[in-house]
Amino acid sequence: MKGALQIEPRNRHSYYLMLRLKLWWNAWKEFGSKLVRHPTALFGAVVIMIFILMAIFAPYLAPYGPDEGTLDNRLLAPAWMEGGTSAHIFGGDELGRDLLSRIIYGIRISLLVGFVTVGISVTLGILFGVIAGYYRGWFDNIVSRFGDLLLAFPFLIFAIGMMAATGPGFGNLVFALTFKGWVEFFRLVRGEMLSEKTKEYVEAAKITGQRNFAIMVSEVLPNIIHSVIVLATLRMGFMIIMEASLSYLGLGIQDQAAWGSMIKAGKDYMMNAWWISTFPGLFLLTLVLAINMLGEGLRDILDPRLRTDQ
Amino acid sequence: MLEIENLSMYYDTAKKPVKAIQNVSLKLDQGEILGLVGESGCGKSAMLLTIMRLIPYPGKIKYGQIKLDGENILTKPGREMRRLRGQKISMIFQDPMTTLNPVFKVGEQVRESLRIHEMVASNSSIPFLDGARKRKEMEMVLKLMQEVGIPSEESRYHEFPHQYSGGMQQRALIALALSCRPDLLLADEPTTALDVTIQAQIMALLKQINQERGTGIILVTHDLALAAEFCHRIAVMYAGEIVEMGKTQDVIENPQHPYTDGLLHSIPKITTQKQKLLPIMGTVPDLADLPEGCSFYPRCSQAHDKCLCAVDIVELLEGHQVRCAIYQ
Amino acid sequence: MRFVKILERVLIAIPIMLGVAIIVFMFMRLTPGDPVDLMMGDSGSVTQEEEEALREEFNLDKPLYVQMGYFLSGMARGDLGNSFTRRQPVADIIWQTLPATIELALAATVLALLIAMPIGIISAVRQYSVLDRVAMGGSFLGISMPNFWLGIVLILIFAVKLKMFPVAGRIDYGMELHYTTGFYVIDSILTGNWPAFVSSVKHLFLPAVTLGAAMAAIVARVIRSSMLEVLRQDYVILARAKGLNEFRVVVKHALRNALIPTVTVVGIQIGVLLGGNMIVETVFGWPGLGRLAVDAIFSRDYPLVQGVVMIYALTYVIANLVVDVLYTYINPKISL
Repeated sequence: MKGALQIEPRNRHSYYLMLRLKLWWNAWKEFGSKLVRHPTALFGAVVIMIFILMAIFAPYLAPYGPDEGTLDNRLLAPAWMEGGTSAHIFGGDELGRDLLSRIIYGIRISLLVGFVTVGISVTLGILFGVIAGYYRGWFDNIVSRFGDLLLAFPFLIFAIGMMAATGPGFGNLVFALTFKGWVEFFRLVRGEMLSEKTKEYVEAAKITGQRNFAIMVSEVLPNIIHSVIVLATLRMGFMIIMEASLSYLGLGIQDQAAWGSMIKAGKDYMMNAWWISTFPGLFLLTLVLAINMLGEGLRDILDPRLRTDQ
Repeated sequence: MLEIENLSMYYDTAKKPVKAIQNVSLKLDQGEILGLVGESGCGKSAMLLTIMRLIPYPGKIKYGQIKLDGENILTKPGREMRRLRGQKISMIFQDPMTTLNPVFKVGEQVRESLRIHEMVASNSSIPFLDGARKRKEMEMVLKLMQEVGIPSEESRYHEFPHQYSGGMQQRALIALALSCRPDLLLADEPTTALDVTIQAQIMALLKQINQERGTGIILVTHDLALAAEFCHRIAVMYAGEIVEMGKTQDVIENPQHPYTDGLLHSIPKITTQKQKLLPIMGTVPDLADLPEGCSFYPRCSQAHDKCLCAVDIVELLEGHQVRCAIYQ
Repeated sequence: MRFVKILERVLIAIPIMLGVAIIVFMFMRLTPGDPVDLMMGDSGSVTQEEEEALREEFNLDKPLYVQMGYFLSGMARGDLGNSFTRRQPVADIIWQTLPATIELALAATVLALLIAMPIGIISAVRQYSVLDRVAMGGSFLGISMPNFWLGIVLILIFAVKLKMFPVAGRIDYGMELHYTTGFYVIDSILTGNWPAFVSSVKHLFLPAVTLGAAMAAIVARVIRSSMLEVLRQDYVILARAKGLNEFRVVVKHALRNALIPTVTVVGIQIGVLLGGNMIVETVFGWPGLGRLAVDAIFSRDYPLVQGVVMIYALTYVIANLVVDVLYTYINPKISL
């Protein structure tokens, strides 16, 4: 290998670091320019950013506290309807709390559930998937069979069962959703590992004397992370809907302003206060729609193999 | 039988039109085999699809006529055109593995062709429930399969395409193409996807069909040697135009166009020992951005000023036409 | 040969069902909350003896593994135990509610396929047309739509505001109908009871739309994308070259191939449908298995929850089995 790269030994390390940083930066730049040119993905990303900002600055944006209210404002109509006031744009809920404020605070729950459940699922999925896919053997057997077993339950039914068993609450909810949520990531990572393992670049890394685990982390993982990101985004919308569904059934989060619980509360008043269910649902739909749009866009950008059309 | 006059077909893309076929005129007599030879992307496959009037969107026929037995088929309404397809004009495709529909039995796919062209008349009042008709059609299919050399056709009839080998699939496709006794067979590189030994068998089969039934064949191929062996006449295409056309012997032994000459020199011959191969430099030009004058001019070894003007096709000897500035 | 393979699949399903049963059982027992307390809740003061008797009646005084043994051996005999709250065999309760759920699920599936198939096909054939864009936008909305909210909005618009459909239930209150199959739509046709038929169809419509919306959205997308893939294939050109008209090319030669991936997706959707069924039945007060399960969970009716969840899992496993078998019929390359 003489003459290919003439770098002084002590400079070599920093040279490679610079090279890596440069490549990394270029990859991000390319990703950014592709995202901007993909209207669906861009729209999704912008809407999600707005939602995240609203969640962070909820105390400043919301005109009232989430639990603040007087019975005078009970079932108060939205501002543009007869009887509404501009002080409560979306009107009041069944306990006289400001609906808009509760919706804004509700973003926190939905986003938090989405990020935490998907985050844990991805971590577990990658961890188990990499080990199972690379080493196979008894570990792979046990985890795969357990995953198959979990998949025999429809997701919502499983989550309802778990929530019924453990009781409502944020921690229990996250537990219930991730208990089954990791399986899909596990399957994805494991499958990709199995196919990537046989490819030339892994062989090349082996020949240059890298150890197995080093190969997995430094060579294979970057090649499968794109598929994981795409799946994670799409699953996040799903998890948010799951949380709302559980809250709607009274099994999710009850002590805080969660959209699902608000929609449930509104259902009992649908004859004379349609807005209590409608507006939280509209926000929920918008958020999930934005996440799915971003997910589809990311799939086009990052992982063209997964494209379903054209 | 088939007469093509000044045919031009462009793909109307958003930017510039892609000139897939330009000003092509040719004739095919009853029972004749014409070889259409050229590099990939020169418009020879598009030619066949144009004759079938099956050019994919955004392809459009700009000028010219295609006459079959004196009738211009380009003006025919869709229903009449569909009646011609598969019955008067049939086509064989390049890749038999992807051309048969994977979910239907091979025999049934051949039978479908008989059915839509009503090769067996029905006496029943409910034609699609006519068992006797179906049996007769099946017999015809079996006979066809036997003719094209598919062994144990009785059981093969009920098999699916993936159970066939590539050569057998192409035989089945030939049986399908022949089912309605067409006058004209369009073969689009019928042997490219097959093994060499199978290639020879398939070509022999096509030759036999031509001789026994008098079916006219247009054979599209990039293999000049194959065309030389098989065809009565050869037309050499370059960038959507015919640059040389004539009897096989004339074209092969006495090529007049520099491109034909180049093609002949880039084929290794077994007979002459130690012959230097002379590849044609460069690649086929972008059909959306053709050079002025002769399209071959940028790659031509004998290029000169006159090549930049428009070049017409001229008849040098009887039936030997060339499109080159040298002969203008 | 096919029979042996199917039998093999069925045998593989048995350990999965056993695993499901054990998981369900453990879940319900490891949870806080005493079912006897809940049962006693309404009846005011109860003596120690009465409570003991109840515990004994339902084997709650035995150790867990004994209870599990009872449960599993009972299940093997088709006996799902007795409901705590209704004092009725669980199997009977499930049997009574099953027709309502099947009626709704079938209506939703049929509705979804009837809408999704033509839309998916036309969207593919006329790719990038206005119809394609509108349909794909709509299906994207359908995928992102929380179905309980869709149900509420549909009730708000069509039941509360426009009064075109009833708010909840399966049939108008007090409507007379002779029940034979338990499928109200079929029962009313069988007995020629026109008003009951109209009423039951009207009751069925909104829940079926709500339940079928997501399925329709996904199936339309899958059919479109697989049709786009298939329409590019050589065999479609061959079909045209044979002289077939465009309708036959699309519907016979292309669609038949596009159905292969579609069937797989429909199979996966059955699981979504089962989960959605719980929600939709709750929203519309539909007296089916889903609402039964939700009620049972809240009243800690262990045997009933176990029974219903087992039925759900069984349905899911059977549905996947059916899809696998169906797959072998439409894809000749796969022989199970």
